[in-house]
Amino acid sequence: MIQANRGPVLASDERLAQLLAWVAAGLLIVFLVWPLAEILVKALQAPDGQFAGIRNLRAVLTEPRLRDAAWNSLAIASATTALVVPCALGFAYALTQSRIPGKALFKLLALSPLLTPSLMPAISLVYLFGHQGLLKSWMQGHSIYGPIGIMLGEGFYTFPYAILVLLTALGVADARLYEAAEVLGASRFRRFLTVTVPNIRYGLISACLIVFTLVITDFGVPIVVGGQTNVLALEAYKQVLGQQNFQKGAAIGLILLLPAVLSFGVERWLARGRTGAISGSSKAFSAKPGHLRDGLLFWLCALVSVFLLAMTGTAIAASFMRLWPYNLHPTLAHYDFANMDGGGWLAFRNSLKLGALTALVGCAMVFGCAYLVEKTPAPRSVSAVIQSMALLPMAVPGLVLGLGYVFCFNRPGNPLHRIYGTLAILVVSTVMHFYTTAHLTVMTSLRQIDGEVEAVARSLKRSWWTTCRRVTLPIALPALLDVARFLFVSAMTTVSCVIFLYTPDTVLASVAVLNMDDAGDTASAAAMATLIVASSFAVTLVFYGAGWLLNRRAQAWRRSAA
Amino acid sequence: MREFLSVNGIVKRFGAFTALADISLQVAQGEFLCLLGPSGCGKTTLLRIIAGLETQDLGTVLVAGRDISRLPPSRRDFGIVFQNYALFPNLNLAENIGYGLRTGGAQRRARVAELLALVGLSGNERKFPNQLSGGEQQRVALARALATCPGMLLLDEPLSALDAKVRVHLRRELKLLHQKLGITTIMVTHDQEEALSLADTVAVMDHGRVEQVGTPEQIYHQPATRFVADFVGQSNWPPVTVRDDGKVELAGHEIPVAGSYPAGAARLFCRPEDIQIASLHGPSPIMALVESLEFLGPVRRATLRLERARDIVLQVDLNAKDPWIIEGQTVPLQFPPDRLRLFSAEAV
Repeated sequence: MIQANRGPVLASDERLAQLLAWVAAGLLIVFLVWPLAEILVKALQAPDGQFAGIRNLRAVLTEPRLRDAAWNSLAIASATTALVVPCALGFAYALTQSRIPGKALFKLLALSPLLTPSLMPAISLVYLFGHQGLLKSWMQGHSIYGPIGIMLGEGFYTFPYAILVLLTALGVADARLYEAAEVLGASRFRRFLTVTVPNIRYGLISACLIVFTLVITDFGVPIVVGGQTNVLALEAYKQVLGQQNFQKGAAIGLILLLPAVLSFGVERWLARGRTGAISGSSKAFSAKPGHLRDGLLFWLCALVSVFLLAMTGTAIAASFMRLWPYNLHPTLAHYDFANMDGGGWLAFRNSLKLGALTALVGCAMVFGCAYLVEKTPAPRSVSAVIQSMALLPMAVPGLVLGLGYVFCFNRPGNPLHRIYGTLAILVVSTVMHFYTTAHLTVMTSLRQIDGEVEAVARSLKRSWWTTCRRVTLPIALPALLDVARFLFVSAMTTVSCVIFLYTPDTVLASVAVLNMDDAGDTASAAAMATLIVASSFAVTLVFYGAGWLLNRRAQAWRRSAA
Repeated sequence: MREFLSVNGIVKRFGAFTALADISLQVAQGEFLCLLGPSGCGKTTLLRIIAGLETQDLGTVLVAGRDISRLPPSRRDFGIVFQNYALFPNLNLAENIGYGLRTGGAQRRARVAELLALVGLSGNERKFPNQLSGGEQQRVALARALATCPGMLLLDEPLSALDAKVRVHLRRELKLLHQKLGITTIMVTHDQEEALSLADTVAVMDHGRVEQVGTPEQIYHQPATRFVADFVGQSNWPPVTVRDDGKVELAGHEIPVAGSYPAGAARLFCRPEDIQIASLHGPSPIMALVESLEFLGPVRRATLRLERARDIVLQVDLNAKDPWIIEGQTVPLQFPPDRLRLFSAEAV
């Protein structure tokens, strides 16, 4: 009695899971792959819609103005990387492998830029070193408007990303290697060269790639302190929003995609076969006292922290003063957005709405996809589609994604044209923009749950949604809270993607900062940026508080077995 | 005994690797069957196919004559216990055990209490899995699997993650539990001691095939294949020759062996505890030199070299009645004919 295989064995609830997996994959294709494909199509089109081949790309590379912008982008991104990564390495080294005081505070300050819109440091730079800047004399005749300003602003904006990567890389240091090196008589410097550096080289490369890509695709900082210096990201923004030249914008977008895709490829290649950097028998590193080392590192951290504080503090302080730097009397006048252009309180309310909806929709989408892929017998083909598309946003700068959305959903023939100009498209694009980080966080937490838990539940005749609700979701809740916080804050601070998609009705706080600054109303821009920082901070506190409460309630079962 | 489960011609491939090559097995109602084999032999894959967690490429699974090959696990009515317990960490013991119960209220509480009592954990309803030892967690997993009164119990290496002492203890309880409930059970294990002590029937597997199905005694004393003989228990494999007249010769000595074998070179299978040291005065032609003695607690194990063929080394268990044997001594050996078997001469 031999019978051929007729597909996998499925219950009705599992067939539903399969259907949902297909729907999820479909959503990712429509809102991620389609817009990106449109960029490619547009980049190869002449303005009249005729096929133009690589003419647009060639035009970008040969037009002197654009060629200059490309060179500026490259030079500034390289210089910023060279400035940020060594500072971040020293900072991360101090946090992990020294005994300096105040580590927790330093770490908090190092990560604080994540809560601010990228325009904020630029505004602070203008207040400090601009035409009427408090410390203009420090510039010794150089102008802050230009490469110097862009570099400092981008340095602030990219610092926490570099720190996060390097902290992880340094955090896996195995004390046994250091002990072995010490016993063999290696000097402190030699230990750094032979143990620390090989350990973190992947982290270093990773940090360089991330910083470079972030700088080259950001236009928030250059738009405020760029002055006469043109960069590619700014040019894409101007071509599309200023001159409605979609084809050229698409071509620039395609070029900006290059470093991101390249660094994504390198990252994946490095990650290959690099599991188990820390083994079960590894011993956590704890630093020995070293006065000279700790002294130097402390001053480095202090210096960097002062810079970071100045970049947020100046704008916050100036927003509460009559006229920085001439009249320092406190006032709330700049927060009276009602009489100003740029969107005012509507923009702030929209941003809160966007943050909340992005957190909600994003968590549902990310958890749903990850759960279907990881915990239900979804067909292998769908799983592969979802898995690879979930990693795609990491390689796509927000600017490029935003362009794709414009090209795709602004086309009257598109059946989804109706969502163009609504809050919905802002929510969807923001979710997609930050999808990868969220996906990886949820995936990691799901993979920590034994797969046989699901098998047992199935044998006990319970549907997967019962198990999901009663077991998987409660276990993954802390990770999900973290993802919600990340999405909320990111939605509050981002401009790169949404700048192409907002309308007067759906204007956002981060966009309002840009517009008010553009209109010369710097103090109000600073006030709006301050509101963003304050609400990001509040939201972070709320989520940490919720996480703490949750942890306390779940302590009975979460505490690891004695 | 009534046949309960019938597995027919199961084939499972993972790419080019054949995990199961045409497996057929029958399990009677109330029987305790152990699938025994080294890691990678396919025993767990077979269990997962029976459970419905894996799909076979070919073949059928029948329960009481009904074909369940295409049914999902939720419609197969089997209780499953895994090596790593797979308890729901965020649910307490009552919620874990009651997870599959459809009843509520007092009835549910009574059933949970009854099951906790069954596995000796009464009164621990409100505890969470991480507050229990490994052995206790596995009992909870067992109680959870039994809660819905499934038609069959599937155990996947249930004792392998436990300490040696707990393992032996829980093994005994598992046996008692099976005798008490009479539930048809299939257990996967790589531990032969576990299989031999627990099972009514042992199926020894290797490379995706069933090598032998039999009672523990049959598996141990009458291994059907060389793999089974070698995998289960300790054994000696001295080379022998089968003469044209059917007589078996070991190092030139003729030894009586039950059964008949084809002429030519072969290997003799004999367990260390089956070889006897003959009384010193009796007539025995096979003499061996005691090279070394190893104290193993209940027995001493001697390493012997045959006088006539110094390259043949045998392990022999000495019982307490032979305290006089010392190293360097020459002793006569006796081979009990009914405990000997011959296998092909290829290297072990």
